[in-house]
Amino acid sequence: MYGDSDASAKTDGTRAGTADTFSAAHLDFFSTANVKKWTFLAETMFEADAVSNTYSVDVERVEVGYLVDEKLRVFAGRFHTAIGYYNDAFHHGLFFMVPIARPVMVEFEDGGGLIPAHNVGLHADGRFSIGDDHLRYDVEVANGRAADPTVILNKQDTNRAKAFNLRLRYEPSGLLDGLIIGGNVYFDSIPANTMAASSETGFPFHFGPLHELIVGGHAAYFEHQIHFVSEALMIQHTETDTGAVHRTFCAFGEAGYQIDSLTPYVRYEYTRFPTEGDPYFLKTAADGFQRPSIGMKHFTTDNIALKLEAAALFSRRSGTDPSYSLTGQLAWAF
Amino acid sequence: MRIINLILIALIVTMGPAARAFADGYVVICNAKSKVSQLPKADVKSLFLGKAKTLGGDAAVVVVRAEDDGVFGAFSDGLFGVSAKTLLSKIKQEVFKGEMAKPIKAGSDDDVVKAVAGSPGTIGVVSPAASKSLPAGVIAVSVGG
Repeated sequence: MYGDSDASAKTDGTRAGTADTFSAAHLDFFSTANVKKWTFLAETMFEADAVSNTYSVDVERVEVGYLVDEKLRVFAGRFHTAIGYYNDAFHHGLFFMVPIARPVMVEFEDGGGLIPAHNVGLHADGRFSIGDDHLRYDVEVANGRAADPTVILNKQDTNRAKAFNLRLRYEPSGLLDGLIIGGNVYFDSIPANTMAASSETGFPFHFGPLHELIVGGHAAYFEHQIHFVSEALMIQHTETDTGAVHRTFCAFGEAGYQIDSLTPYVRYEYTRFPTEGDPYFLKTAADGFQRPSIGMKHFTTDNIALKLEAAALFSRRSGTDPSYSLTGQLAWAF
Repeated sequence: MRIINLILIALIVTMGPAARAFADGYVVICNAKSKVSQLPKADVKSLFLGKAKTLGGDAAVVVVRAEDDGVFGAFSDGLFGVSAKTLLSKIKQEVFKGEMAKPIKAGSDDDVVKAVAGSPGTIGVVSPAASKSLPAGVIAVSVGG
């Protein structure tokens, strides 16, 4: 059982732009079972919505898997897409993360993230030896994105095309043991967004079907008290009927060093949307931002982690002042 | 005296990895059906961190002990270079990720031996003293390089 309680204050330096709040937004039930080579895993989240202030229930992961051997493991169900490092390393477990929250680019679909964090379909992974080093692969065929970026196609795919994802990771040995260097390629076809209209969004966007290509790289290292993760992605949306191409670039890097139970850390995030706007995210270049943050995590007990983080958000929108936030978090795992 | 020294040197050379494990204050054991009597350090680390999924062809299951357990502390510090608390946290995260089966918790050498004897693919650590009287179905694993 996992969850967190937060207290945060945000300000852009004006009285009107200042807000503070307590929140108890997440209650996460995790269950797993193994019978010989079969595995079952489920993660069910009770999550409070910031607008309605009510809890809703989401089955975040439900997977059944079979382990053939080291080179092949197969899962079916709803899983976290094997994109980059963060998405399927920390899942919804804030307790395990060093910072307060995920980087914005790898946030979940309902949190404004840019990746298809969840997918429904088939996942396979395995690990091969290359001398003393290892190569790990993850391959997925899934329903992919819905027309609405916040919707996950749990029951029925809305187009025939399936999403395809490949992630490769190199895991060196010896002095570099613990280092992970990886890359991703993700393809999908996204149906036309019949729900949105320019008049509603205020943006002159094209709402026809899209082809999506995501290419990215990542590196992670968690040995010798060092915490390091970095990811970079290019997300390309091509209008199927006009051929127009829209590219979003985003990246982050975070580094920390554990001193006994305390891990101070820094993180830097960068997101740049295309000048002409992205028809899927409904974002323009003005929505781009940089977000540096600094904080610390205290691993108080086996079950409790206390965190404090200060962050600044620098928007690319002209005339917008930076906003600053200070957040404390009590994350738990029992 | 010289002969005894020579015998000791010969024993250390021939039993190198096992002797090191004894000196480190822990001995790795596994289910005899796994038919694994030797493992490189990197493989033991991979099994306890969910990177390696099988032991002797069976799904791997690790046996963990309490964070204040001396044997498990020696194992965590000696092999992973971290405290038992940190290692247990990493294992908890790997289970949460779905990368490894939920570990079996054991409170003593006897509990570890029983758990390891219980099913193929199971691996754990016991004190050097306990490793001298392992029952049939459990074997000591020589951890090398």
